[in-house]
Amino acid sequence: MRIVICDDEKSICTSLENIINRFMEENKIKCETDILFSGEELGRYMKENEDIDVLFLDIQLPDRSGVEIGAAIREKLENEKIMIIYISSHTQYALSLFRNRPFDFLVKPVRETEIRQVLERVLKVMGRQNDSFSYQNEKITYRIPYKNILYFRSEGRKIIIVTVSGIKSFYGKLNLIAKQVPENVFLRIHKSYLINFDFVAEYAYEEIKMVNGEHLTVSKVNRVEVRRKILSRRREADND
Amino acid sequence: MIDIVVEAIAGFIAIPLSIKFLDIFLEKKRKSIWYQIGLCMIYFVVNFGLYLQFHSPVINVITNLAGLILLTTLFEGKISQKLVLISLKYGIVVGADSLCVYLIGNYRFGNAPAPLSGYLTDLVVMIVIIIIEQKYNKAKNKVFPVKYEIILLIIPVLSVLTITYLGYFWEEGGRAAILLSSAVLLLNCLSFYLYYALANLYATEIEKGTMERMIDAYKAQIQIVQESRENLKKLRHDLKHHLIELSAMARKEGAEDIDNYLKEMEKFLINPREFSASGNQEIDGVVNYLLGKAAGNLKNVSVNISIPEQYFQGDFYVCTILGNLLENAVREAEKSEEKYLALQMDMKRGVFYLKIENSYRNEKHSSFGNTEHGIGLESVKKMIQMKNGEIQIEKGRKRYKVFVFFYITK
Repeated sequence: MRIVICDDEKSICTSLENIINRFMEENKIKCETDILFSGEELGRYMKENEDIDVLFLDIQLPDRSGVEIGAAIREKLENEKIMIIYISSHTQYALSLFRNRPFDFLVKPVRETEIRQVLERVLKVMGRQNDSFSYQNEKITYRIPYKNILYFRSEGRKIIIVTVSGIKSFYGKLNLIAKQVPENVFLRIHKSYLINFDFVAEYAYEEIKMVNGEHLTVSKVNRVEVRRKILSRRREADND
Repeated sequence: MIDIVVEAIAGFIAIPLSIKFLDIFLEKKRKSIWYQIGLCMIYFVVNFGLYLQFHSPVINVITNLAGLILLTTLFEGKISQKLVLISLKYGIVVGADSLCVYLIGNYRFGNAPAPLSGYLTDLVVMIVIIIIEQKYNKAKNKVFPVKYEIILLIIPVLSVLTITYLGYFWEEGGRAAILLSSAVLLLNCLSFYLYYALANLYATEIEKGTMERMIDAYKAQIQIVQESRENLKKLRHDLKHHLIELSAMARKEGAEDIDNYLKEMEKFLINPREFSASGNQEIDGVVNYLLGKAAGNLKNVSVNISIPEQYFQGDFYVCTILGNLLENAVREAEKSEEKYLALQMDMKRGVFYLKIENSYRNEKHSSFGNTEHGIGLESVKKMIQMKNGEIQIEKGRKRYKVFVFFYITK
């Protein structure tokens, strides 16, 4: 696991790093933590290291704002995997921050209990995306990790899998796939769509916008159930 | 045979009229067309079948009311409200029916009425429904307390008893019967005026209560902002002095002293009455006002709010939902031994999420009991429904949790 802390205040960085290392040691998780002090450093770092899992990002960096950096990660790099946790001395957040789909917000001075709670939720999210979906096509078995699948779509007898790296297809039934995949990772919104919660950009009552810009319809019969499942999943994420 | 067919058609027409009537006052649920047709068929078959079999006015009343209750399953709303509406509607039917059978011919109680009287009754009921819809088209989803509903129920109950008495004991019929039936019909029509007036009165009371609370919340928020401003002014004024003090401590290498001094300065800056500073005035006002009032009584309060600044400015529904739920949570937490309250509010991916957790004394927890401002469970649920939202409640042994979620449509 790779965690990056990007903040111009050295004391915050050191304190965060210590708490993270302690937490990972207690949970016996191998983790690499790197500290950066500016947006430019972060940009250079990301060119060399693509596998960042968590980014603690100060909203007010001296050279660039956390909003711009977040937007660049989501839109230019099209990276939805990095869990961005914004840190700020303010409690008021601009709407533009929310468009970057941050994992959480922390207010300085950040308390150890708050960081631990965030890290626990991070581990939970990473845990459920570790498994893979397997299917057969022309007698060959393929495996795609759940964390790479945006959604399944059924077109007649064919199943289309929209992934981060492209589109795959095979012959199958969406009902069977829905029973196969975990309920807390995938959501049935329509008889033709089974979506991955973590690739949703925006929820609405009648349609869902995915991170790749596609708008998928939520069928009338599913709307109440979809709503219930979104809330249940959120409660589960908060350990409720 | 022809008479039976004529009566059957008249009886069947009455069913969509009942649905039309309920549609004026209640929100229709999303049910498939086949479900609705099935329900209407059951109502018709049972009602007409028992009428043909027994020709009993008492059985007629029971089957008609039972059928109307069945039709109310197509609509949202609390049970007591539905009972009042179907009773009022039945009062009109009874009045219209009585008027029509006496108008057409000499009717004797227990005998089959003239077949065409059914059509006349349907016509009268339809006219009444059209008038009610025109006059009270804003009556949908209006609610009021059970005590008012009980008062309203007296009218149709007395109407049914009067008409039944008329039928059983007054054999002559004639003009007197027509007049009395007309009076019953008119009285039941006027009862809707009363229904609407009561609903509006109650809505005005709730709005007034909400406005009063918002004003109190604004006052409290203004005070908090002023206090913070004063503290900041003082700190700025004394900054030079504080810097001198800190420099002296640094020269003496008193790191712990510096740390303690800085903590004192921080305490001075943070306003203990400011639990929320999200940049949404009404939300901050409501949270700070309610938690500020309870500050001395609660032992453990946690507030975590991550919503865009100014996003919910002027959002009446969010503030009313939050204010009502938080007020109840604070009240129950104050009564408990643990005195714990946690509020979490955020917005992610187009979804607003609110969680309120509180400790409570292990008695009946009225999370949605009527507050002093009079808003109950139904009003809060309706507001959440209007935003296509969802509310879930979890009651543990010592903790009570309420979860609210709705889509952000902006």
